[in-house]
Amino acid sequence: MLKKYLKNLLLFFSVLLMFFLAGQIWFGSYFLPDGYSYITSSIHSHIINPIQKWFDKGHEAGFSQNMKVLLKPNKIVLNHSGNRVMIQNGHPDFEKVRSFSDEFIYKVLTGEYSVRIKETISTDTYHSLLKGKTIYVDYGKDCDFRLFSSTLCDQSSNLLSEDISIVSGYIIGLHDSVMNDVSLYITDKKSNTAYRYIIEMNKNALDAQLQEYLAGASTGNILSYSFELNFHKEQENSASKVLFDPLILLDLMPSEIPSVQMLGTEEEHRSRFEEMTEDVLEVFSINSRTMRRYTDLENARVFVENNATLTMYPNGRLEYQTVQGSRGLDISNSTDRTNYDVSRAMADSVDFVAALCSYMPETYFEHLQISSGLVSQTERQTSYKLSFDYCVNGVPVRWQTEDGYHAAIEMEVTEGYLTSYRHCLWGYKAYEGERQQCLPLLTAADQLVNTLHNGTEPLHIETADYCYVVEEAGAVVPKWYGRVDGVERIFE
Amino acid sequence: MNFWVKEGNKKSIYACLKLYQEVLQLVMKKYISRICVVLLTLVMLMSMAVSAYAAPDVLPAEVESTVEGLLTLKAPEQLITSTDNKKLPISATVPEGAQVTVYRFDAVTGCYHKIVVDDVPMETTVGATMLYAGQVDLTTGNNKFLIRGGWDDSVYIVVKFEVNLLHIGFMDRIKGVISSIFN
Repeated sequence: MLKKYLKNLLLFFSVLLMFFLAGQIWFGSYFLPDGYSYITSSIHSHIINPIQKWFDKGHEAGFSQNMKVLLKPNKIVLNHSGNRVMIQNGHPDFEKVRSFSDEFIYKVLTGEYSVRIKETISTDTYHSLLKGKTIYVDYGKDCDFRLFSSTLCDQSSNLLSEDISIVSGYIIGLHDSVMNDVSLYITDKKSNTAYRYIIEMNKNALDAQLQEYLAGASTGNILSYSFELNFHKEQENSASKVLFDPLILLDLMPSEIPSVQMLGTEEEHRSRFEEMTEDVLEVFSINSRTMRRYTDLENARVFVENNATLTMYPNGRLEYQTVQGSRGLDISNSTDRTNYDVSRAMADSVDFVAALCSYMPETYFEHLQISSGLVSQTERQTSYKLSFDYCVNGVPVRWQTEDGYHAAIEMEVTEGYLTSYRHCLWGYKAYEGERQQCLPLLTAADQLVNTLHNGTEPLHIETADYCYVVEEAGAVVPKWYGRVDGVERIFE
Repeated sequence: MNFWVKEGNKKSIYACLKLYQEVLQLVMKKYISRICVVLLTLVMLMSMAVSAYAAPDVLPAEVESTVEGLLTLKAPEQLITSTDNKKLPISATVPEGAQVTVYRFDAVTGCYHKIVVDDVPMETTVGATMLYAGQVDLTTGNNKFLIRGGWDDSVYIVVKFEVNLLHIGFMDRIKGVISSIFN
């Protein structure tokens, strides 16, 4: 009898052990790390993720919430009776102004405010609106309208979807005169067509808010749009070496912005970096038991797996690079890899970045802003290079390295697989007491012309904004950056 | 000479130094005034080259250009315009290195006076972009301006333009009339 019980007990433990070992092979790749990763990823993508998604109804809201943090307007420009104020993130009124402009666009997109009339307008009319009573919300980058709409109102499709494919901002027009209505003006950047939607609402409340924000504005020099100075077009007998995009704002006097310094000391950063090593390895699905690790000549810690290398540099930089021919780390939320568009790439990337940033100080994620354009260049595009800036008061911080200037996070995603990732983990903060002078944009453009102009065609400055540059020596200096003839660069 | 110094003793070295000193003093006494004149001339020439040339503070109303095509006014596009905006952006294209100055007409003196904002004159040497941009405040009614681009006192171009700032009340009355028609 005892022998029979022992036999059953032994059989029971054998079955348990079998499940345990199978689990280790499938999920942990502990015993046979080589060659089983595809099983692990298949199980994750075909079984675990769909089941998780089934139960996790709040997933999409999470993405939307993260996108709301990461996709903020670059600047909001208030125009009223000849006065003009530019508000950027970090300005005391930014959140209030953003809130009421977000509320307006939300109600239009969800149909709460009905559109009375829709019409197309000329580009010149669109520009001239900015001389009148308007609120111009500028995101500073092209964005797929479905993604834009999902971020603002959790709906990828709405009344405006049939007209707009790519958007970079919108204008709320209160009109200086005549009608008591409000208009929404949006330019579809794909077809370059500007639309006017006359909205059924009373403008008085918005008008009062606009006046309130502009009441305390300074009466000194106001910013001028490039189209007001005719810097956007060549004129007969007046050759210039540079043309500005019509909606670039030019400051005519030198301005000052707060100095920026590293948040905490280098030592504190290094020790935090050390502490979060295990978490970082987990996020990158690197098995700490099976990987190889060593410290290189630059004192960087290198973690080598079969398909990728993760390097943690002592200056707070993190680099992940898959080997050639490898698909990379599966970060997709979906099993379906077909029609992998920019919205899906962004959703996967945002979730990944949010997961990594959850191991960092809380404020770090709040400082991040999407800096790359959010559009598919072709219908068959499956690979996307996305970048996120670390911003201080809405001004991005760029890192200078031997091979140029970099955003805080630069990543490449191909059909849901992360193939490369570069992240600077150090945070920075502004010191309002210390201010640094910024050159006027025209002076910065002079330097750019001296560097780039080839003597024939004028340079075309498509975007221009301030940024802080962390130089290789560690100093942080304000500089102008922007897209010139299609290439993003620092103006120097 | 070197041979003599090497071979000489301490006394001879002192004697040599003294000789040098005397010769130097003689030269200095004879040529000191000339050296000073040369140095002063050099300093003046250098300072003229380094310092920017400044345009006159006041120009008569009838001032005319001495060259053509040196400056092209980009904004405002028309030489006589109206606006209800109190700030007027001014822009122009000018060759690199030329100086641009903006003047406002003063009805009392009958002359154009260089505009000064916060003790800084509206005067700039144009950079490599060949673009000039500035901004002036308008007063209600007619505002007369002159923009001058020049290399020096004799080679310059002037462009005169007028901007009429419409009174807000006047604009409101027009709006009121239109509003009553539409509503």
